[in-house]
Amino acid sequence: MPAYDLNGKVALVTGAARGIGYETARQLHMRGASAAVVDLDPEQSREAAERIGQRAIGIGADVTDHSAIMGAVAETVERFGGLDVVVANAGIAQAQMATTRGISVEEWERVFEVDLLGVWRTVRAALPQIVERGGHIVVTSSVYAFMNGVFNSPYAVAKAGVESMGRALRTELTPLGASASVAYFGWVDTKMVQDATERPHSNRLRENTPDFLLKRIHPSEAGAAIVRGIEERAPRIFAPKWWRYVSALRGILNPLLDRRMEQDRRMVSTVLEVEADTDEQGAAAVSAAPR
Amino acid sequence: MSAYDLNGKVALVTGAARGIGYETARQLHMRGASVVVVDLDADQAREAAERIGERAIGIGADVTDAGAMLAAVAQTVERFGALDVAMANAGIAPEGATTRTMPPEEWQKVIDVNLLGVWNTVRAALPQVSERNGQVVLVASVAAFMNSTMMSPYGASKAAVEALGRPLRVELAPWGASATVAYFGWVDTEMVRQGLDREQGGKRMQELLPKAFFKRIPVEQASAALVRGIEERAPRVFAPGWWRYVSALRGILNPILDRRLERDAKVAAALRQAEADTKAKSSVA
Repeated sequence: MPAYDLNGKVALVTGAARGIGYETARQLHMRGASAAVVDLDPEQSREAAERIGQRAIGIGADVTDHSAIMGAVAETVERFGGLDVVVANAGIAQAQMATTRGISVEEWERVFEVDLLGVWRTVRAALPQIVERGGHIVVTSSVYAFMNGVFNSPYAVAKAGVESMGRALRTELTPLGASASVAYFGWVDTKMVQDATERPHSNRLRENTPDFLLKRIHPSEAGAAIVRGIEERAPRIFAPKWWRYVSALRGILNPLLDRRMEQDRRMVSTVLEVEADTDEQGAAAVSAAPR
Repeated sequence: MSAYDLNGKVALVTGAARGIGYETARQLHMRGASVVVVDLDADQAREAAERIGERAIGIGADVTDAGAMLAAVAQTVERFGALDVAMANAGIAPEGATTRTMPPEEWQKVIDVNLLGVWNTVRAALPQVSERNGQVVLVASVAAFMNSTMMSPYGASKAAVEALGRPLRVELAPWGASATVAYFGWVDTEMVRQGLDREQGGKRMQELLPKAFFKRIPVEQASAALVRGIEERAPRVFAPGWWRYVSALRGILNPILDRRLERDAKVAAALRQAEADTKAKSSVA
């Protein structure tokens, strides 16, 4: 496939008021694209767009609201005359580490709603334009698409779904002259990750993980990876890059790592502590636990 | 983990009026378990339970309704005193269409049943299952890791189910309970016969890949593998068994197969045709 020139193109990025989304919008803009910065809060979106410069607009839209995201696409087309690139990036993580048993139903479903259905709604709203203009779609997944989502199950569940959807989408778009990428990020130094690592018990997981796995990259590196991926119409975008090899070996590594985690005695106590924190009856349950 | 004796246990199976669900409920019952047949239609659920025999009841419940699943579990506990094994099996396949042309209601419905339905089932069962060192079985599919072109919500939901089952197993280990993810290839069920066969992209895929990939196994064989998996508290059950090796190699094979699919002229023609068909249909509607 020929390299895709971003100059003069129109890009829409969700979750773009900060973090990876902001950096992606900013760098797309630097390559000559017009950028629609979509985020939950219209003020923050507009401020971000102003920081990016001319040819950038901010739009407030909730990705869980079908008509709001349709409206954001329509506004982008009206303002810039079309839409060539969409980066479905908006995502959230649960507020506290919790087991699938202990997490509140509302929170589990909220994470899933934003992280999978929000991506689908964004893609769906943009597809007519993308197909018509031979454009490109990036769906933001995560290494959690293939790593074990212990204490984070709705996030992992959604990201695995996003990966699967992105692969099918690429196959469906290629014959029409358009394309799609799945983006997988490890630890990026965003507010979402900072908040996540400040949650109680998260240090317990880190204690058991080698340091190089925890090294965070700057959001600008993640944004650069996305921009490069769009220019190459790459099927997969990994940042840090070495996750590509973990992904290639996932079918063999995952059963081994899952088993190790399941048999790890420290993990047993972490599970019980996390459940004790999230569940009011948890304190009693810990002492009643069979082993 | 030690072998798990099904004799005297209580099992609840969703989507159990027919197909893999029915056959698994039947075989669990043969091993001495009491079974609860849950399906959308109460009459069909009861008829299936009658065919299975004593120690079997049928309950009509929609897995997309969290309250209905809690009630089904409550009814199970009331009738049989407990719940040991919950098998979240109910699933649907969409009519083949691209992500662009599939009606949004249908895309979302597949996710609702196949993923949120599993979540509702698991969540309702977990208090009993963890208390009784029991098991949850999540029925995914090889579509969890194969390319699901023309049926993206099916693939997305099954990948998501797999991603739910894995952490669940780690989180249940301290309770002496466990979770199993089941991956079925082509099983000769009504869903496969009616759904996946119609679809052009799927047909072309069948031509592209070795025939062995698409050989259907009888439902009995799929359920027998699953029952064995439950008795072993296996983390993963594959039927046909050789899918285990495809799964192990998925990280290397998928980029290669995806690329091949993406560049295949006949897949491309099938996709264009499907887009045209759907457009024609929706303009009539």
